[in-house]
Amino acid sequence: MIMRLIYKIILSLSIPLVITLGLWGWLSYRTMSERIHKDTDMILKDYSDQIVSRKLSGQEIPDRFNGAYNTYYIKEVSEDYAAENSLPFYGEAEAYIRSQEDFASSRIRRQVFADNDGKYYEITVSLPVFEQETLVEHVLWWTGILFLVLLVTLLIIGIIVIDYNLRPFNALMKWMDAYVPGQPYETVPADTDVVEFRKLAETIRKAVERFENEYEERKIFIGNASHELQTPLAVCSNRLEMLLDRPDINEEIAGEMVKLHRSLQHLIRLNKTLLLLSRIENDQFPPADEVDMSSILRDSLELNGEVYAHKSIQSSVEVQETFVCRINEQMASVLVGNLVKNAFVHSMPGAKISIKVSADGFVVENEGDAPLDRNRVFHRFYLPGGRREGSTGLGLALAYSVCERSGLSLTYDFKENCHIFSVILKK
Amino acid sequence: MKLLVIEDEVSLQELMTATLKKEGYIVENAMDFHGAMDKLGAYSYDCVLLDLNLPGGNGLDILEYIKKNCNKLNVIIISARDSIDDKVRGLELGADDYLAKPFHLAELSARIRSVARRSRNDGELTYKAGNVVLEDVSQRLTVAGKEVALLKKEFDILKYFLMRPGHTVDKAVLAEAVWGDHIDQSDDFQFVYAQMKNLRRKLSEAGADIEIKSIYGFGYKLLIP
Repeated sequence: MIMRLIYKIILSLSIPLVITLGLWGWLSYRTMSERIHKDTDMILKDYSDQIVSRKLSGQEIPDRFNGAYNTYYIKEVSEDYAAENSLPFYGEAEAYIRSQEDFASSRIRRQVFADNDGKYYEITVSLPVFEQETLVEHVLWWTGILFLVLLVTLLIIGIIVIDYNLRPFNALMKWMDAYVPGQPYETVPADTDVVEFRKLAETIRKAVERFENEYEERKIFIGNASHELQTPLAVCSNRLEMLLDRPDINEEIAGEMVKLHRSLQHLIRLNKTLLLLSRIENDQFPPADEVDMSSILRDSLELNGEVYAHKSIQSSVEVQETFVCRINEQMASVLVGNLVKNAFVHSMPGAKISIKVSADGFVVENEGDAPLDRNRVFHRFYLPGGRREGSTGLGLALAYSVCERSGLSLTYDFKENCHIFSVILKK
Repeated sequence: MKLLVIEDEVSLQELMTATLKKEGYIVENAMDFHGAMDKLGAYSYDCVLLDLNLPGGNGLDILEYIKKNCNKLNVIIISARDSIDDKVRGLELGADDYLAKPFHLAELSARIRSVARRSRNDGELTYKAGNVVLEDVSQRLTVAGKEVALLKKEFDILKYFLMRPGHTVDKAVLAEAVWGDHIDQSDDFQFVYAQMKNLRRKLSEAGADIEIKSIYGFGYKLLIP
């Protein structure tokens, strides 16, 4: 079971506490009640001895029911019986109390004794135990209450003490929740004199620093690499173009050269896109323009409809309200262009594409057979149906990055055989 | 026309020089900031191709120097820094055009021609080939003095070829240039063929003496008589 550390500690603490406190309570209760019974037995013995000594000395024996609750009873017994029961016997029995005119559960004591004539008697003294029972009950109650109060107090103290001492840890947790890679962050809280917490904070600080450096380096690396690739790529491409213009090449060579040229163009495009992606992620396109997305969507739909005319795709735009968004204009067309093109490229011939625009966003839907992997659909180079000739695999990643940097959220859903890409203004 | 190519990348410089010489320009080279300043101080040119990233100094300083000291010298910035800021700053400082690396060489010569033409005609951009005249700003095409109506895409295609006479153009490159950057996953160029067919029909019906010829099935070339 997943729980907070403090509850885990309290839970683990409460189990041994319940056992030890319970054991202690039970023992003290047992000792107390034993003590009470022993006292009763002492009284019975004194009483019995007193009556026996009076009887043997021929003094007057008090009335059997002398007004008090304790009673006695003497009967003559045989010698054999006396021999068998030479030791006093203690036990529980119902005894009649005249003053109450009722039987009451009592403690009894039997003892055999012989008088001067050699006759054997057995004296039974009894003392009702309700007083003792009440006392024992009281003891039980108070032990129970003490047990609960102690347990609860200890646990509350435990919670307070643990919570107090975990403050630096909680501060660290809060800091980690707030941390977003690549975003500015506050210093790691290390205001503590606990060695372990200091070490933890220090470890986190170092890890984050290293991570941030790597993150930054990776960003810069992709940017720099694409940047450095541009010139050699341009040289290659231009040299090929120059060769293509030569009159002394034949069709076969020209065909090969064109294939080479197209691969090179693909490489250039890939490189350009990576560069664009890294620029977007470096916030080089701040949202600066008020852009009417519905008109960009219409233009893009028209353009793609022309390019993919051979697929005879049925497309429609439904504008409930114009969606005006604060975004860099270039980024707006990157976003829309990629989403719309994506819908066209991945549609089967004759399929439907519909775009719906509302006041706070727009939705691009296209028919499809199977849902895409929600977790990876916006990853770079995610190509579910295998690599397509000429595809960079970066289109949706670009769209996602644009949204991230422009206060929009881009989500993917699959419903009723439709891929649904929604762009919504973040609240 | 005399050009100065200021570019530190040797192979690109060699390539640009070879292409431009073939086009009939007189081309000189500078490899770094100081070499460029020396040449600009000593000789006069019609057009400078300026790379912004130079060893020994910033290309924008050269641009400033040119605008102060060399009247009527056209500057085309060539930069690998394809950022809007650079472009805006360059054009504000008085550059005539901005070309981001990587570029097609045909694009480069077209830009040089267009910049040269613009400086002669005071900004009116016209492309002439045979009896065909295309006015860019007013979007007009005249063949042998008669106006021919073209659709937007047909106009763009023709302009693209008029900027690159005699060069072989891959239809994939043409599609990207005319339909935009997003045209990259298509392996079907039906849309190019359709527009091309209409454009050719309109040109021949109007009696144009230029011809957009198919080359080996992968591209086209503009032939001028």
